[in-house]
Amino acid sequence: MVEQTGERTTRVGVRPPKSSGNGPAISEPKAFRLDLFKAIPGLKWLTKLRSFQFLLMMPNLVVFYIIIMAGFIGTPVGNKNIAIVFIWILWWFVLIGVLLPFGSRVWCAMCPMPFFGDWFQRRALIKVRTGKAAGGLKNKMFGQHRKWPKALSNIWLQNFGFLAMCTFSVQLVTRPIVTAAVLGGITVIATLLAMVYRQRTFCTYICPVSGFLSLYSMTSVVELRSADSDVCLKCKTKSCRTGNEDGWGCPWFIYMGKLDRNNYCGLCMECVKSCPNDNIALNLRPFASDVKIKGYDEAWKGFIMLALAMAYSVILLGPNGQVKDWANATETGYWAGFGIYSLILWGSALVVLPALFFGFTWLARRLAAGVVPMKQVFLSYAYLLVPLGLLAWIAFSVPLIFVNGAYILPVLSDPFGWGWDLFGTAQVAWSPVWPEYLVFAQIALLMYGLYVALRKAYAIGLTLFGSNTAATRGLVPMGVFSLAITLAFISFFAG
Amino acid sequence: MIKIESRRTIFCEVCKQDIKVEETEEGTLIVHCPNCSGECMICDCHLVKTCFTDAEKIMVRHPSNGKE
Repeated sequence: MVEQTGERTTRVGVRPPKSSGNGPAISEPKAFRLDLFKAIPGLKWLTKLRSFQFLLMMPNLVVFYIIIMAGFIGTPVGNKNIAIVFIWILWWFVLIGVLLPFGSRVWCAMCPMPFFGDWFQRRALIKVRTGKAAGGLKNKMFGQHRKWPKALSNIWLQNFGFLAMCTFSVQLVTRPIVTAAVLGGITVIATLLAMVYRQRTFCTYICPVSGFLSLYSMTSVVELRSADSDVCLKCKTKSCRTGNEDGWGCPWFIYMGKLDRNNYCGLCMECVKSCPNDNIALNLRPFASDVKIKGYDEAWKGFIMLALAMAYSVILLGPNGQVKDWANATETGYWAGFGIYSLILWGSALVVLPALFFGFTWLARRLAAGVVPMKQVFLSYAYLLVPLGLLAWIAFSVPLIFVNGAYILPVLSDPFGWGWDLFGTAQVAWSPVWPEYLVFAQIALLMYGLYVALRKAYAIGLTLFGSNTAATRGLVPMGVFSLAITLAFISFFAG
Repeated sequence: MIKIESRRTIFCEVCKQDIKVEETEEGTLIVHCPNCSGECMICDCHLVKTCFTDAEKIMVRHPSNGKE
């Protein structure tokens, strides 16, 4: 029997004190927002379709299957195999240069790798099941549906996994069988984890791609949010998070009423379907609107991505043959060199760059005479790594598509490198597009990254230190850091 | 008998403050922590075990109900 009574205070949950992230939220004043659901006729109807995500995933699953097959049984020549050309030239550029800045984590909605895990948990491709499951869900879920360990509920595993994977990047991006084995392996792990753990546990904590998507989606010009947070506050069901007969509870365990950044929203659009108040908006917004880095794991993801962009620029685009030989030890057999290369890569990503950045943030706090804790200053300014890193990655990827993109048409007709000519494009000659002008585009991209970083550094300083003078003083060292990073990339690309 | 209040708070032992708790129509408790940003997968809240759980379960654990 349940009895309704008046107000009372309940004591629960005694846990050791823990730092609460980087202190008060740093958020930009509410700037321009345009609800694309209202602006584009039919868009909301489309996302409300129960088959919406299936329709996005299915074509990718077919291509993914062909890519895995090609990796294992196709030609080992990288530029003639669809596994290499489609993944490391086409997909990579579209992901980092188009989907992320213009579509946030929309890739996560169409990614084929969690397909089998999703099906196992839901036993449905399209329909919704109502029932009860742990975590407050009002949907019936299959599998063990366990909660991921608290100690691992961050992106450290993604950080180390991604860095480990990228240490072998030369093998990964040149050998089809390695690419296929890694992608296939990730799919198997995603499926197995989905059998044991709740919903998109793999995507949130393990997937190596998800880590940088999470970080860089903060810059995206779109966001999925509640249209009116008061409506969410008054909502008596919170169906976006718990699910109902119209939609699955958020697979990423997000409560839309309080969501204030893109990082962990996979844009599956289930909340659009399940919201009983029709209160979800897909907003167009200014570039780099989210500015809150919540923990060291996210900050270190920024360092790792920046260090990797530098390393790849040297290895893959630079003239230094020695470093290339070190990175390509499986072919050159120079394992001592590979050890040195790995040590430099891991050391710079995990220790040197963060230590350098700490020095600059310490100086910023000192110059601004700030009284806020150092941790808060460090994590707040760590946001600068996001625009700097993303634009550096886009600049790095420009030659991939304009120079090596010429391989796409031939492999489209001959995906396995077996001499087929399915669409009559197998013999299209390799012809790079404007190779002599690409460096200007790269520099322009880097300069835009620097501009955004400087603008944000000032805004962050203002929030941290409270006055224009202090923010300007804080901007000096952070500006020097950002400028140094930009100049380093310019020297890699133009040197 | 389990007592469930329509409006109440929970005392956070770490933050030393009363936090508002809401119960949905379907009997799910939701903690309205001022630091909540809706990202339950990486939630650091000290009351995380209470949030999005069945109201009855929490009340059964409460000492005033005479049960653990």
